[in-house]
Amino acid sequence: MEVGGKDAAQRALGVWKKALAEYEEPPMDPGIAEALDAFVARRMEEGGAPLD
Amino acid sequence: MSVAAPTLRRGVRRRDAPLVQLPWGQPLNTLGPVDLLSADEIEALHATSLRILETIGVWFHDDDARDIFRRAGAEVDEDSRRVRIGRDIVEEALSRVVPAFTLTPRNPERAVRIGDGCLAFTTVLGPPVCTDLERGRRPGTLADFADLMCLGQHFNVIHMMAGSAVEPGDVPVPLRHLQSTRTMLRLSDKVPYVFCHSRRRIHDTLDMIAMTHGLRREDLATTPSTYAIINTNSPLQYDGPMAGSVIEMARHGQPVLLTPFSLAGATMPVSFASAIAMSDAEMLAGLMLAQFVRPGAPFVTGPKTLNVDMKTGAPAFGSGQGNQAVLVGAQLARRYGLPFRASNFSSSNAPDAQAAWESQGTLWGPSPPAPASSCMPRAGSRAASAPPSRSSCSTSSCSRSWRPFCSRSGSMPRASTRRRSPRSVPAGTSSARSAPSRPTRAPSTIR
Repeated sequence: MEVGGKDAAQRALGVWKKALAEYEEPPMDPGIAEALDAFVARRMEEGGAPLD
Repeated sequence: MSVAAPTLRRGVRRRDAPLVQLPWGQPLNTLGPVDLLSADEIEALHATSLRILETIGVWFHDDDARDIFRRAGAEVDEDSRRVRIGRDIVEEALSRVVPAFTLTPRNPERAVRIGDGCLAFTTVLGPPVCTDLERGRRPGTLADFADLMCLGQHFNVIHMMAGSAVEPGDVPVPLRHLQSTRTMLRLSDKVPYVFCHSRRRIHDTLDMIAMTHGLRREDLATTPSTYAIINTNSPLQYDGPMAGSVIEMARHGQPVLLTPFSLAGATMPVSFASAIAMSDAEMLAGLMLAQFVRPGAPFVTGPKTLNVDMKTGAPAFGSGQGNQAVLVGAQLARRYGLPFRASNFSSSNAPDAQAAWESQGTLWGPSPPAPASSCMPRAGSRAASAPPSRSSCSTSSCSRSWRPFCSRSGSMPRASTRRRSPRSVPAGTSSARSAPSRPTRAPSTIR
């Protein structure tokens, strides 16, 4: 398609795909990541938090 | 033909080039505020909200909240749960507020100033549905949620994350805050959002955020690092989860963005002056709760007063009157010395000229024309900043980048505001299974 032939939605399709491809996961201390996972696993085991 | 060839080559180069972005940083609002009302008119509004608090009162359906007001000297009726609050109590609470504060996430380089003229933009919060050109409109999943977290992290115009950029509907509700928070904290090092709605959820979320700082939740109070959004149950009510959330956030030294979602002609009087005064009374009630739990607790005001479509009852997002109410809300925030939040609202179902025009109008409270403090329109809708700039921390330009990705089919996902607006579903593009060569991300696979 010629430059200028795409509308905003079509252009956005390319932009978000490119942004996702460029995305870099920010580093996290492995110990903290493990602690987070363990916490989530435990709380899910307990049933989480039903609404009040 | 000599023209066509270079055009083609230029096109190729542009497709391969990385996205061009401004460097990370908060915009400063250097423009003077717009005072829509005179000083006398603002005082008249304030006097009316004081009269509402004193003579009509606010209904608090949370035992702790009523107890806190009783100890502060308010008149509490346990049977009706009504709390009448004298003006001296209001003034005392207002004397405790802080005009600006800093939110520090796990990466200190991503710290965000709320207030002092600094603008902050967030992602959208709460759309149940996402859509893109390839896969169409669909209920959100945790995978979509993860993609949107990545986009929020990637774009420098986004300063803070706002929780459910799309609701991960494939995760059961009792577990959703756990999965969402872990995904958000792993994929982003920007200021995270607290999923409220119950004390237990807040505790879980704050536990996890504290972990990323190497702290325990109990020690988080000296480190404002996250925020939550509270909607009152207009007219003049706080249900248990909302009042409890204000209390828990203040107890842990974390800010709430208090947003009465007031609909003139539905939950509020049809006259805008009355609706704004009543909305102001609701905001002040939440402010008092926070300040009596912890004097100087960071706090952001961000009322939304809209008119409704009288044929359908749908909120008229982006209406001229609603935009005027944003400017008045920002003016009241300056009167109180509070950071201010505004949201990006539009009634358009598509990312079109109407959406752009209406969204821009709704963001003028915190931003250029009516600097109050910080702001939070989500990248789709919220902006906050402090005097003088946008107030709480949402985002306006985010809305620009996000509106195409998410559809927000309805209003706030909270008790009294659950009314759906049939007209408020923007279309767009969203997350992406089909994204090219996307790096594998652990959280998307952890279920």
